[in-house]
Amino acid sequence: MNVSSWAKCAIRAPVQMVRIARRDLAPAVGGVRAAMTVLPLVAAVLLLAGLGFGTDPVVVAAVAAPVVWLVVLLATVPVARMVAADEAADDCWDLLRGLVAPSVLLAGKLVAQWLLLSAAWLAASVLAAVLLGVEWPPVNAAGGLLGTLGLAAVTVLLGPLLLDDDGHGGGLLAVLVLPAGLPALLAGSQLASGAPAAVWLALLVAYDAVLLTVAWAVFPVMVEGS
Amino acid sequence: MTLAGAVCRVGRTFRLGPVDLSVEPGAVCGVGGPNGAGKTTLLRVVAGLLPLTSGTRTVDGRALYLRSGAGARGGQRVADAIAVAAALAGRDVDPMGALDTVGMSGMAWRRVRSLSSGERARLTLALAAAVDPEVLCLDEPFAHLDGAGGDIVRSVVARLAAAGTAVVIASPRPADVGTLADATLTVDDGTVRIA
Repeated sequence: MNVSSWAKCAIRAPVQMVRIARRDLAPAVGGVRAAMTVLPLVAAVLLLAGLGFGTDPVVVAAVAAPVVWLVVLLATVPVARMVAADEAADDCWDLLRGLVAPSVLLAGKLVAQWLLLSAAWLAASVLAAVLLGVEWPPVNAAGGLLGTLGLAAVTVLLGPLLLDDDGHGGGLLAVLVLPAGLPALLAGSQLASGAPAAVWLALLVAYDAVLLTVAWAVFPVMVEGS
Repeated sequence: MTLAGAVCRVGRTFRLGPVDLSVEPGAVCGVGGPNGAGKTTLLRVVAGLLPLTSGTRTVDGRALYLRSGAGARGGQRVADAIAVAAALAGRDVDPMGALDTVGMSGMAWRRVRSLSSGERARLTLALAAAVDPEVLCLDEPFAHLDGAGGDIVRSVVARLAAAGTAVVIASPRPADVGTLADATLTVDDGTVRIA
């Protein structure tokens, strides 16, 4: 590749990344039906899980943060289908592979997944504050952003596994994603409950760095074999 | 596009090749053969979607594989599907112009999921025209199409080839491709021959 071609690719890559992310987010952002079904579901899970620990406000407040992160972890399974399985269901995966380099595809999908999981985390946090009367410390926002970034990397990494979904793919993904989300669950919950921030933020940064590196290295191989 | 000694194993039992094939810019290559013979595998190898077990593949530019009816999300509007695909390819294309070439300019604002199979097959051709790749692999583009739709396929392929795109078309009925093809290959049980 000569310098001119390389420069064109370098300029085009961020534009392609944004277009892929927008393309993925369009149904979620534009769909009233999605908001009407997802938000009540999140609210129901929060209330039921919170009340499952009892009606004592102190106990409910203590379990609110882990419940919020469990909601986000559960959201990763359907969201991960957007990486490749939904594309393949619409017969678009081959076109995307032909138009976009795997690294750009990874970046676009990662951004879309991060925004969706951040939105799920934000919705759950706001609903928990309203329904369970929890007050979140300011550092909780950093925990949310960093934790959902790591989870987005996990879903993008494992999304291509759902391409040959024979009906068991969602279960398989849940088995793989939920343990991989443990650091986000632990650190995010601790940050929300007012534990010393530096240690848990450092854990989340390390978690994100490892997962992003692995995704960057492995995703192109998974795409090539898909 | 050149394949040299290309072998591709799919699963444990199917093997395509070895294949030596060169398709020049502007050439149209028909690929015939019975169902399950390896036509789709050959096209996916040409497009770079399947890794080679051995041999080499060289392409100067972008190679695209499109099955009939593929390439657009069900929730997208027809014009948006064209615009997004062209933009991802780095091209500034008027979606209406691309749709006009396949007789679909009146369907620009319909959702893709509302189209019939034949209309989706024509949309696939519009996507190919909008992206304008250097190598285009069309897998059974005549599927779901009536006689007029078949004429549209031949018209779009001729236009792309005239502009320098190398086109490889797989069809179980060689008569569909007609006189369009500069050369025709036959695939049978993974072995590729000149017809």
